[in-house]
Amino acid sequence: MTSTKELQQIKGGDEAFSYLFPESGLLAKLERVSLAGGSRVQGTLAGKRRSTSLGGSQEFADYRPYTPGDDIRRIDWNVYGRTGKPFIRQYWDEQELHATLYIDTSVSMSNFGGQEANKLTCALRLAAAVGYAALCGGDRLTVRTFAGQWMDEGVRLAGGRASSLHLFRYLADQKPANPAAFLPPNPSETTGAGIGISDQKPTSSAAALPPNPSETREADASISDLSKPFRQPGRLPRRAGVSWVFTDGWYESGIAETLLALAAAGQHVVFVQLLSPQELDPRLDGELRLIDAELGTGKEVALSGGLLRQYRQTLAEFQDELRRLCADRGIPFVFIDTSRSISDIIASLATIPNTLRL
Amino acid sequence: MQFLSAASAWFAVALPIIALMYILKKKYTDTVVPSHMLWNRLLREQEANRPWQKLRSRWLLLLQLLAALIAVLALMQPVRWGAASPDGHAVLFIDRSGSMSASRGDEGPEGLTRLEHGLRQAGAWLAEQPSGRPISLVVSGAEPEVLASRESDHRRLAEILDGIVPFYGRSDNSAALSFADSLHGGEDGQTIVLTDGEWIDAEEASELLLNAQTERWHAGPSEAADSPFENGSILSFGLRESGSSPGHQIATVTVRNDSEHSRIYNLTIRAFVLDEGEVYRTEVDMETDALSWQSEETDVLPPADYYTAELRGEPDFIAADNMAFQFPQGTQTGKALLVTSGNMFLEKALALAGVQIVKSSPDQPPPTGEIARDLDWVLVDGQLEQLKESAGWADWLGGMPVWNMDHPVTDGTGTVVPTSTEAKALEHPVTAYITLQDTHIGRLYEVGNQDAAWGDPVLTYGGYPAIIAGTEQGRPRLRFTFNLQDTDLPLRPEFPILIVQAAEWMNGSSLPQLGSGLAGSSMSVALQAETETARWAKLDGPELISREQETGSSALEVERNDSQIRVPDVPGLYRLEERDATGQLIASRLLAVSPDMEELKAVRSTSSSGEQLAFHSVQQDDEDNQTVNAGQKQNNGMQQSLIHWAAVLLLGLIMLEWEVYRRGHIG
Repeated sequence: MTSTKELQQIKGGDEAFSYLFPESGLLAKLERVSLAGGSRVQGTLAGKRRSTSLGGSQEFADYRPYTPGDDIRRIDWNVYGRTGKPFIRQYWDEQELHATLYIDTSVSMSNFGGQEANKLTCALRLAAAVGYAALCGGDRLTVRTFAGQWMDEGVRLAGGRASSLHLFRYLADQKPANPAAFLPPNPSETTGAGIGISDQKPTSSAAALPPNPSETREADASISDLSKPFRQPGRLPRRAGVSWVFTDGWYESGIAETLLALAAAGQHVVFVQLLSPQELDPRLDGELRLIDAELGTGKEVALSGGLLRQYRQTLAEFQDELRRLCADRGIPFVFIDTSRSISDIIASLATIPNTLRL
Repeated sequence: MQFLSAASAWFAVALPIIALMYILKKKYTDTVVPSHMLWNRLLREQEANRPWQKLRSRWLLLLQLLAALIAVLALMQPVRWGAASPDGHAVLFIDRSGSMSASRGDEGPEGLTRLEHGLRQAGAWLAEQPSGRPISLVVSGAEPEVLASRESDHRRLAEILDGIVPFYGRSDNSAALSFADSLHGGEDGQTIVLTDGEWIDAEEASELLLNAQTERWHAGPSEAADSPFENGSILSFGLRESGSSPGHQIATVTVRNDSEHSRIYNLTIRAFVLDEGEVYRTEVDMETDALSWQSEETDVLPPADYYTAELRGEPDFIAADNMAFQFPQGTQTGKALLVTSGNMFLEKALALAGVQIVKSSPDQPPPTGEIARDLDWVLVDGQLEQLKESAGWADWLGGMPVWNMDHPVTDGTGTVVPTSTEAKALEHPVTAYITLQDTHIGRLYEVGNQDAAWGDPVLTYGGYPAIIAGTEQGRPRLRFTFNLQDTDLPLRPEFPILIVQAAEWMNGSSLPQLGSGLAGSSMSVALQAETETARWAKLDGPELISREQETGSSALEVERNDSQIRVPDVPGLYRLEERDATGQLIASRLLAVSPDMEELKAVRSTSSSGEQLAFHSVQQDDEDNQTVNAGQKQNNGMQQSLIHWAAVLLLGLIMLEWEVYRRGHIG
């Protein structure tokens, strides 16, 4: 249990906390939550998670006949007394769970959704919640952010609530500089704009540039490949564990490969797709040059109601495709509308198998 | 609405160009989206027809296209037929054919003819025209006649209008209409056709494609068609010689009643002798059924120079067909003096030709007294020169038409023996149907240049003139340069024909009268050679408006053109008076001028044929056929340019477009 004093220390000591946890009382709920790790618990240190291997924990697993060389201290003498045959008591090995959170901080994540439903903010808050729950459960936690081809070193945290402050600071550092920067132009504002309308650019091209300096625009084609950052050396977890991927999924390729690579690394993957309401139901009208926030390329579209209907249909197909991709690999696919509150999301996650456990 | 410059429609090519410019327009509202990924999938199909997508719901483009379309339409010079521009050239075409001379009891209190009524309408219209408007005046006739060309002095035009009289001959209305249309010379203009619509050539006229806008005014009150038609006409008036008493005539008159009920017509037949005037008069009452005709023979009429038949019966709408003239038949063959030492073939042939022969011989003196006066011409069978040497003959022959036959002597000079039998005949009344093929002529008199200056060799034999025909001092002259006894010609079947034709030729000028002719037509009349002036003097005729009456003179100069002379326009009996240089009357013949019954017949089918006449103008599609009663609004029918309307529309569109632009619906 966390003492109120400690909490206040965390709260008061870091304004990152207020960014990540705008809802009060969420932390307390999160302490009861643990990450579903499946059978992929394989740590180096003893932990709270029952490992798939037998070991020296207090939890009884099974009997087996004594074979010479076994530690005679583990012979169950009571059984021997009843049966006359020596049996060895076996116990489960309890190890720590390695949880890794991958957060997509690409431009498409960081600059969309507006102040209220910014995708990156939502992702960071969700990661904070999931990470806090993991830490409270005594799991080891690694948090990494990626954008384009790049993935950072991230932060490695030992289990325990004490590490949560580090987690929050790290996550708060990733928050988008200007969450409202890429608000789509409101059609109702443009009607009265007059002559200057055609010259008006809702955002400067500089603002459209990815905020992360390490992201290069040269590798345009590879920006849309999710597997690129994961292929950087040392970015996949070394030990089996749980990996959560927070992304909007706007990748032309590499999603299946990434999921495969993570599975190959012994990970129980949870794929979380975050989409803002503007992406789900875009309110666009007229003739627009749609600029890809990451690639910077334009596409001229005369928008109409029919086209928007087609867009929604295409989006549904895309999500079905992702869902199928995950289902084929036994991976839980979680779709999150970023306008929802974090506690709502946590509650709904608990209903999805193999994600969170209350 | 029509377009004067349809070729400007090519400017419409600008329209797709405008649309193309919109398609190629690079102005888009930049909108940043997280990713193109979905849009790429989505637009894959849409990009196939992307250019058209851009044109959807574009106010500005639509307005610009509309503006461009109007500009193109304006370039095509749209015109509308409407209220006339009052200063353009107008052609007033007045139908003055015979049917226009019809008057009806109900057409006004004065019983105006259609033409008079129409002329009043034209005068009223003329008075309304702005001064200085060029107006041409064309009337129909045998040939269209321009009475005024682009005349801007309207008072003078009114005077000309007053002088227009009906033309009773065969009118070529469609030619006149097409001619009137051509007076516009390709410019915009207005043609007003003042007519009763009863054209013989209505069908042809309706097929004409006129360039100028053409309007038809009905001459006369339009309700006239409802009133019953009342007219009687003399269809034919013929004479035949009475079998019992020579010189006396029996007349046959056919009268047609065009009324809806049977009528009794009073017919007066008169006989006239030129110097004595009326010598006989008889009246016949003829009851004629409705819409039918009736023939009647008269009693024996005494010999006279001419006979007239006059129809009376009121009401009668057409005056021109109430009189007919006829001349007695019979004295065509003539009486000839045959001076010969004996030629049986010739005597018989002349007798066959119906010539009354008075025989004489070169030894006898010329005839005198009663005999001499009756003679029409002389046939000298033998050497004329020898005969002239005797004093009595020379004087006498000088005043007579002479036909002579040479007797070339066998050993004499000036004669020639033809080397070939080739005969060549010119087109001439004497040699019609004559070839002289295979005919042998032994010897011909070689005619010197001076010997026959009065005529042409109408037949040559072996290259030498054989028959010379012509006129000498206005009298027929004929010369055969061979002796009939030197040829086998009298044995040929052609011989009697040749003699008949020769006798007719000799009778030619002695025909007492000219016969009858159609008003306004041309007829072939041989005038006397010494005729210097020729005039028509009207002796009798129905009471019709004519130019002579207008000018107060009953004489009319004869319009001559080669051997054709023009028959007077107004029906009646005329005398052709020929005078020589000294003013002496040298010949006078009578001519009965009749109206064109076809033209008058058109009146009878008033209500039906009038609708057939319709004008088709190139610039008139919708509004042709318009028959505007002249009493109504008259300054209709000039093309009105619509360009300024297009300009107003264009300005309005531009303002609208500005408003659209201001409100940002630039798409």
